[in-house]
Parts: sequence; C-alpha cells; structure tokens
Amino acid sequence: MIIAFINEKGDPAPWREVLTEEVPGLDFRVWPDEVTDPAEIDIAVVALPPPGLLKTFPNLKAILSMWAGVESMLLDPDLPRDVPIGRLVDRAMTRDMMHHAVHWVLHYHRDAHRYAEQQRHGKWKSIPYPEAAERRVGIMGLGALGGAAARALSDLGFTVAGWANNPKSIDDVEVFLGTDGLIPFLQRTDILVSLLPLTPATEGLINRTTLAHLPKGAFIINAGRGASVIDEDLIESLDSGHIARASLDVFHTEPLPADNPYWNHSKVDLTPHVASHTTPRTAGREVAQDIRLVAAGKKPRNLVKLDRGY
Amino acid sequence: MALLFGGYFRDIHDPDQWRALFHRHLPDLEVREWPDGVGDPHDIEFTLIHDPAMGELKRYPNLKAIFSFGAGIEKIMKDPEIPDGVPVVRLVSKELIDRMTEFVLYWVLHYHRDFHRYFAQERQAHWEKYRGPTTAERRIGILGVGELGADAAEKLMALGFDVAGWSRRAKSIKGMEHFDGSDGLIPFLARTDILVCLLATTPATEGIINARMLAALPKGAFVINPARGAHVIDDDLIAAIDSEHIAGAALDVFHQEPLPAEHAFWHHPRIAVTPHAGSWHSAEHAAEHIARNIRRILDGKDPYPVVDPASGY
Repeated sequence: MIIAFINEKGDPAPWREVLTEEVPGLDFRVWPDEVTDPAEIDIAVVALPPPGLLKTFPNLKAILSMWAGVESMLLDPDLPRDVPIGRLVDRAMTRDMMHHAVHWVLHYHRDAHRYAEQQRHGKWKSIPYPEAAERRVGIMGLGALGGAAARALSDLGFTVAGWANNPKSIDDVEVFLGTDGLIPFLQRTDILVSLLPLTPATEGLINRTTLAHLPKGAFIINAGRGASVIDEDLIESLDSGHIARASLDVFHTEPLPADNPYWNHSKVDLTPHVASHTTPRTAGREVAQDIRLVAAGKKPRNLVKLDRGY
Repeated sequence: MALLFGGYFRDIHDPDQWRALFHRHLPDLEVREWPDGVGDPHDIEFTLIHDPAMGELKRYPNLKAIFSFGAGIEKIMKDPEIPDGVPVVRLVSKELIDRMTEFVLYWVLHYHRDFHRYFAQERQAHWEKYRGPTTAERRIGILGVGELGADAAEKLMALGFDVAGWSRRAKSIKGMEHFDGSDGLIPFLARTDILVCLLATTPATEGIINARMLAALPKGAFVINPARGAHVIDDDLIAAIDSEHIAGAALDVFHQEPLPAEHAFWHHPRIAVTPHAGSWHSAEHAAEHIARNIRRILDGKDPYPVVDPASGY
C-alpha cells in the first residue's frame, strides 16, 4: 500500500509514526515532495486537499479524511465521484465533543455564568433551578458526535430530543425529522446544542426565524460549524433577551477577528474552536484501521455520501 | 404523634409549607415548631431541627428518630448528650445525589478542558488553544466514597476518566481503584490530578485539606470542595495556589457561611466561589423522603441511612 499524505498545514511526522507502526509495510509519502508518480498512490489521506488535486491520482482506492468535517473537500468540482471517501470518526474526538456539550449544558443548567458574576461582586445568593428532567435539551445533528452527546445528557437525567435528517433510535431520546420536524423540535428546546455538519441545507439554519421558535430564555451551544449561524440574527436575539446566552466555539472566520462583536458581548461565552480536535495519536489508529480495510479490498467505515454532503 | 420542626435552613424554612407537605404524606403526624411550639415533650416522637441547642434532644423521652435536613449531620452530632439508641437519620435522596453529581461533573469538565483559561482569555479577545491530558489520562480522586462520592465516581468513569477513591474503610466500586485508611491517603493524592472532596465532617476529617496533603498532590492539580468548609485549612490552600503548586479550586462551602466579605477567596483569580449551591433538596422531595422513613419506623423497620455513632457519619 502506498499512501499520499496531503495536509499542507499539518506536520506529517506524527502521522508517519503512528500509521507506519499500525500498518506494517506501509509506504508513507508526503505530498507533494515525495509523490513522484501519482499513478502509484493507492490511498490519499487528506485534510483540506487543494481543489482539483485528487483527480490527478488515477488509481485511488479510497480517500480518507483526517477531519470529521468534509464539507470543503466536497466543494471540489473535480472530486473523483467513484472513489469511496471515509470520514474520520475518532472515539477520543467523539468523547471530547460529548464533554464539551455536557459542560455547557451543565453550565447553563446550574447558572455558572450568574455565579461567576455574583463572585465578582462578592454576592452570596443561591439561585433556584429545576431538576434535570425538567430541562429540555435539543441536539441538532445525531451522527456519531450528536448521538454520544444525546446519550450522555439523557443518562444525566435531562429530557433530550434530537433533530436529524434520517431516522435514528436512541433510548429515551425523542427524534424529530427533517424540515417538518424542525419547528416542533425548536419549540420544546430550552438548551439547543448544534453539532451540525456544514452542508447547503445547514448553512445559516440558525437564523431569526428558527431562533424565534425557541422558547424565551433558551440557551444556544454551537460546536458544529460557524456558518450554521447568521451572526447578526443571533446577536439581535441575545440583545432582545429572547435568547438568554450563547456558547460559541466555531465561527465564520477563525481565529475570530479582533473587531468581531462576539468578543465583547456580555451574553456570549466564547471558546477558540476547542470542542474537539484531531490528535494523530488517536485519529491515526482510526485511519490505520481504514487503510487495512482498503488493503483487504473492503471499503472504509464512515463512508461519505455525496448527495447528503457528509 | 408529633414531629418537632425548626431551625433556619437556608431557603427551606417556611413551617407552613412543611406542615402541608407532611400532612399530605402522613395525615396523623402533628408538626410542631421548635423552639416556641413544643408543647408536651412526651408527644415528640421525631425531630427535624437544623441546628438544635446542646442538650435539646435528650428532653424528649419518647423520641424514635432524629432527622437531619441534609447529608451532613455535624450540627446534630456535636451534642454529646444525644439520647442513646435513638437513630440519627441523614437525608440522602436521589435528588440530592443527582444535583451534587451535576456540580462535580461540571467542575471536573471545567478544569479538564481549560475553560477557566478560556474565560480569562475571552476578556482579552485572545484566541489560543490548550491541549491538556486526554480524558483517559486525567486522574480524578474522590475523597470520601459515600452515597454522593460513589455516584460521582460512577458518572465520571462513564465519561471516560480514570477515577480513584479514598475513604477510611475499604470500599469496592467496579472500575475504581480504592485507597483506604491513613496509609492510603498519600498514595491516593500522589495519583490525583483533580481532587473532589465529598467527605462527611467528623473530627478526623477536619482540616484534612492542609499544606501537607496539598503538597502530596502533583503540581498543577485542582481541588473541588462541595462537602464542608471545615475540611480545608484556608490559608494553606491559598498558599498552595499562590505558589502555583495547585492550579485552581472550586469551593462551594466555607468555615463561615455566607463567606465573609473580607475573605481572600472572594477575589482570588484562581478560586471559584459558589454560595453552598452544590446540591439542594426541594422541600417536596425532602418531606416525602422523611415521611417514608417515619412510615418505616412505624412499621417496625429501620430508617435509612442511619448514622453510625462510632464513626460519626
């Protein structure tokens, strides 16, 4: 097996180490310097491949993404449509995302932002709050990441629902489907967690209209993609008090520009795209497993479907 | 049959509300208010007094049980004249445990994922990511593995953390390494990155979080205390944080509550102060729980959980 490592911003060294250790005999080539004959390449292991590049490898058996999100790769008009694409589903990443969601749901559920404010003023006052079962959490996107978050929050006693495109079944989690399910899903959601991938259907989905369907005082947690949110609409809903607070980890432009109004907004809790991240140590093992499957003539696990966009 | 109720307990001190709640569960139970409405001491079979005066409880010859408003019973146990053979019953409900576990999970995740640093850098419009240990590498230590500690340990393990526990006596929880007794304390601390104190207050645990113990934690460890303020030597904790041996602390309980305005904890940049809000009983759940124990006693069964007079918890 000869693989091409295509990631102009990433350091190939840790990937080379983990992949050659996990797949004995693997020939690891860093593109562009070590790729002399594109016809030799069996598998492309990629993060942000330049548009048009992947079609130049005539004998690809699979494309494996080092990222969970593949939306930018799918924008390539010359993407070879008959080569299976495997998306990264890394258990450590899934767990990190689940922790991020649990942290922020607990943060708002237990009024941690108000207690931090009280501490700054030396104020001692306990704030009543409902039991977890009375707090309705809504997860947008019930894939590997959303499913894990939904299960964890449900195990902690929250009343959890999910919104998805395709039918899913998770114990104790009510699932709302597609366009018809969106408004009823929002109307029953006190804490909205978006873990949506970016597709043409999810771009700008969190906008003035959808926000208005959430009950007054709802909280927003966005750890999916920044482009799911219309920023002006969210700021307007925060300023009017319809939305109580928002935890944002992802943005249209990252790093978030210094003059972006989110930075100084008193109702925004901002983190620098840290909800989950790829580490070669854990992600490399997942990619290695797919390389072994492809070498055995099988398809990678988590296949991207081009028509749905993830 | 009368229950003597009294003593200010935070927000749940409205006697009329309690009377109505008890009436719903036990219509034959008379609720009298301590100290002014006691009446004939012979009628009193149960007490639910937050902070009874010394020697108070021995005044009731027909007492069948002494109920506590919460998991902590040190305000009752400080009385050396508690009548022999009368069970002291703690109030540990699923509600209390669930709320405490939420508090513990929140602060563990908060420190594990560097949210304390992101909050600080947000104020400076600064964008920088931190990469700490993975979940499996982060060692959580639960000091005190009672009902509350056991539940927190199990939920933390379900989130993927490496969890160990320490208590005075040997305990067994599947998947959790357990340390016990004074010999186990230092090895337990030496492997703990985030220490969660859920100990009951007894003379043996007072001041247990002191300079020597904090020094046994690895550099950069965090301390979370939602149990009792008396476990901590405040000056030792501040010194350990100022020397950067301890990276931060989330404190919910204090020697004196409300925490006095001049106390150094309030404005310390690496200490989070919450106003004894770690867990909480709604009057509804508490009255239901106590009523169930009264019914058990009337049926000739033992209430639960009863304090062991030898250990004091």
